[in-house]
Amino acid sequence: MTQSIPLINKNDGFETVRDAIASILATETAAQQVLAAAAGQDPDDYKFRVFAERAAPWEIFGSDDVTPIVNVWFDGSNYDPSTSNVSTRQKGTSRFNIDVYSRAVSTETEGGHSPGDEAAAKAAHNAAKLVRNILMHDKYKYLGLQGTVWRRWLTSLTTFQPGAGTLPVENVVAVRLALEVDHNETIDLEDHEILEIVNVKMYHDSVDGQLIAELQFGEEDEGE
Amino acid sequence: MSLRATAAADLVGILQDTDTGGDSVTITAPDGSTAVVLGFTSDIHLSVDPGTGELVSGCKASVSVLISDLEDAGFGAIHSVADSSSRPWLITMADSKGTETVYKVVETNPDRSVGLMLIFLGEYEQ
Repeated sequence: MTQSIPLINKNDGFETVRDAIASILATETAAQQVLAAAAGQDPDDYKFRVFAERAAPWEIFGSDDVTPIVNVWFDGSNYDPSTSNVSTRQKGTSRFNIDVYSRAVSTETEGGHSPGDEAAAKAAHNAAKLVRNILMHDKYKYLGLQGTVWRRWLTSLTTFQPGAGTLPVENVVAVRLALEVDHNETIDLEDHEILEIVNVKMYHDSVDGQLIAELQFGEEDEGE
Repeated sequence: MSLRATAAADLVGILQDTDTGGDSVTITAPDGSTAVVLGFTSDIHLSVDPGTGELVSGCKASVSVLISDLEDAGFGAIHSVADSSSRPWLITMADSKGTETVYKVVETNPDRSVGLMLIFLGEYEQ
């Protein structure tokens, strides 16, 4: 008779990294909106909706809300035996696709019109720019998971458009950012250096599962 | 009468039949002039893969009108306008409940064998 292994009640490294990416993006788009408003700019230019592992069709694009959508999903992992051991720790390289979707409507302007296809592409590019600048910021070189993440690297940025023959009424453009992350498959609980205290309340929207982040700067949590 | 001429004549007859034919659609040219013609309209929902493997729910709208009707109205040059300094060609058509929607012409596919213009439409806000 063999003895069973202990209960596996932890996240694997790739799950932790996936959730960290989504959390970072949800947190930083909220922060960017605050900063934009303070700088007299339109906060909506810095706004996107964040989802993780969303697979159902994006029906919410049928509404009047044309805020770009960001979907973080895990693509796969490879493991490097040369930097791993056979029992307690393996180094994995995981690929995460961060898909940005935008929709725009052609609108009448003073002397002509604003084409929806161009506006959708520019909105997708703007959101992709924000995602890239957030994830590649030095603050997130370990995605906030120092000790677990060795390296994160944006390997490609690809724009998609619906193919011919499926021309929809809506102008929708998608951009994929492929992020490669080297990480341990063990969980580190090391405390990190506090740079700034930000209270972050994160929750899933009860309607469609959107990940929402509410930030409060400069105040310590009541428990501290 | 050739087979093609027969098909073209049948198309005119079917489209202009007051009981079973096409619906009235209003075409607005970039200069603001309008014409009302009969056309077969379509506005159906579909799922579109923007290339990521993930589907986006949307709809596809089109209208088919006689090329001769367009030419009679002086609208034979109807086409998609990409230039933002110009107004696009617009199509106003009603759904089965009578609700009118304005669309932008995004692609025109003339079928000159039977004299039919298939026009694909996109969202437009005035």
